[in-house]
Amino acid sequence: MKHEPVIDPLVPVRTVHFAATALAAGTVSFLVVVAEPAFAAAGDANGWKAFQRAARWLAWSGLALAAASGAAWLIWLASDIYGASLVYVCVHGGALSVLTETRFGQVAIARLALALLIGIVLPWPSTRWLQLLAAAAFVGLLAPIGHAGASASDAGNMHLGSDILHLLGAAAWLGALPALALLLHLVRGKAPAVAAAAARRFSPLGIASVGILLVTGIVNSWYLLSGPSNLISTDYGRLVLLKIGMFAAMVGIAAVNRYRLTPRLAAPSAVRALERNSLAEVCLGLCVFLFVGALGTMEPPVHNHIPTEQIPPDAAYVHIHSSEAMADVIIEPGRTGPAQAKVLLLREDFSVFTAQGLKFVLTPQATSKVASITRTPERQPDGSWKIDRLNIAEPGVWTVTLTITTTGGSAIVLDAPVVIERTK
Amino acid sequence: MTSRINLIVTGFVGTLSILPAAAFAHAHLDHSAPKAGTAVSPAPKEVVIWFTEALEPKFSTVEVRDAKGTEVQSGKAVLDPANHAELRVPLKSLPPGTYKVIWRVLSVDTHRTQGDFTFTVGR
Repeated sequence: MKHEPVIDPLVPVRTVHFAATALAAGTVSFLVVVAEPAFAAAGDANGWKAFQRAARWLAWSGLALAAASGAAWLIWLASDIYGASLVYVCVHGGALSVLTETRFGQVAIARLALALLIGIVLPWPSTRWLQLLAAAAFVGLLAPIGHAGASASDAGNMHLGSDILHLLGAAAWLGALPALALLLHLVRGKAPAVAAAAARRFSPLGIASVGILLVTGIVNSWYLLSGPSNLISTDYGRLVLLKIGMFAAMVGIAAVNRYRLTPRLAAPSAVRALERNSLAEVCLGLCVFLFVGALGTMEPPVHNHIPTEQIPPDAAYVHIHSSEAMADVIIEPGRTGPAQAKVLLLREDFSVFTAQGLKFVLTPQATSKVASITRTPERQPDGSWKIDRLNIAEPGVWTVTLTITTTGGSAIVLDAPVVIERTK
Repeated sequence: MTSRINLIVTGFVGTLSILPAAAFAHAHLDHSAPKAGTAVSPAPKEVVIWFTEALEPKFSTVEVRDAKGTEVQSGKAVLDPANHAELRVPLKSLPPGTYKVIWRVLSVDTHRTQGDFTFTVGR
């Protein structure tokens, strides 16, 4: 018996890769934009040298981790494409073929070259603008190998541009937080002027990044979600919602840092609190990267939301997708009380899926005392299935479960949440 | 300190547990010529499939088979240079009958999908 893995192995690999990329680029940006001017303003040349040494190791660690996780990503991908083991694709050239003959591989080569360049020139502060440019390209090139880069339409260029800015904003803020915490740790009790100058310089960078992340996050969602209801009714949307929640928590901590702690940085306790808050933000940032790692492996709702008929404005609609069959479920009206439902069963190429039979079950939330609704839909001449006389007793998130009996006699089960509103 | 570490570990594991277990496919068939499920006459010289995402040509294939399962395409599927979501496969001369088009593609965001549809060549 074949067991599904508990978690797609690509999710942790992508998470590490995104976090390591942001760490490397964010540390480079922090060194150039925040730390160097902060130490210079405080006239602390020795402190600057000590911090530079420590921060370089932080950036090098990020680059090394990004290279290792990037290689793991490539090998896993080759194994998935060829349907062969990880060792087989390494030994027999499958990984090399993916590296040289796909956009993913060509981008990986370019990014590896950029990582080597950054790693080599990092000890020379005179190359700071080259470092910044290379770091930006190292981060931004992640966009063409993601959802934004796959669009076949001209509108995809707007999505791609927005995604590049989103990645740069994330790297400049989240990726720089470990370097900020490191600086605060090194200067605590010794150089309060450096801590204050660094916090003052980091603050506008953080605010600009949050603004960019907000705007580009909305633009990206416009392309990837079919509507706000997707945030609740789809796995992809719920993960986006969790990501927004983590982001909001980080902005909350950043606001405390900016308005409460930064004005008091003359006191070592405030520096310690700022360092602690920065580390808390790093933890939340890791969760954000975990969600980013997962979202890239999932199907955005806009890809599967292709309604095959006009959906009435007051209807509850859900699209259910599996490798075996897809279904459009329309409950009209999508409110409590009497309603009717229509189900369209589709194959992956959007042709009608011919089933021998269908069972429709609507289940309320586990805490509800209301009973489930079970119906056997009637097949219509157009191939759709109709369910009359539904009486939905309460509002909330219900689960619609479809059990399809195929013409071969086997069963396919599809389920998804659907939101029922209260009748006004 | 230990309880704080426990809290972080629990939170991280809890977060992991809500993540999806499997990846989904991305590039779907948008439309095709001949259209899925239709009858055409005269016989087409090629099958063209438009997908919803740009594809990797090296890892995207299309087979067209007759009712006996014999392949009837006369060459490899190629991407349209102006539209990387458009895949064309040339056909041999097709006698009347039902043909099955089987496509397996890799989108540039590295997701694999596959599907099939049929069309009929009339007399």
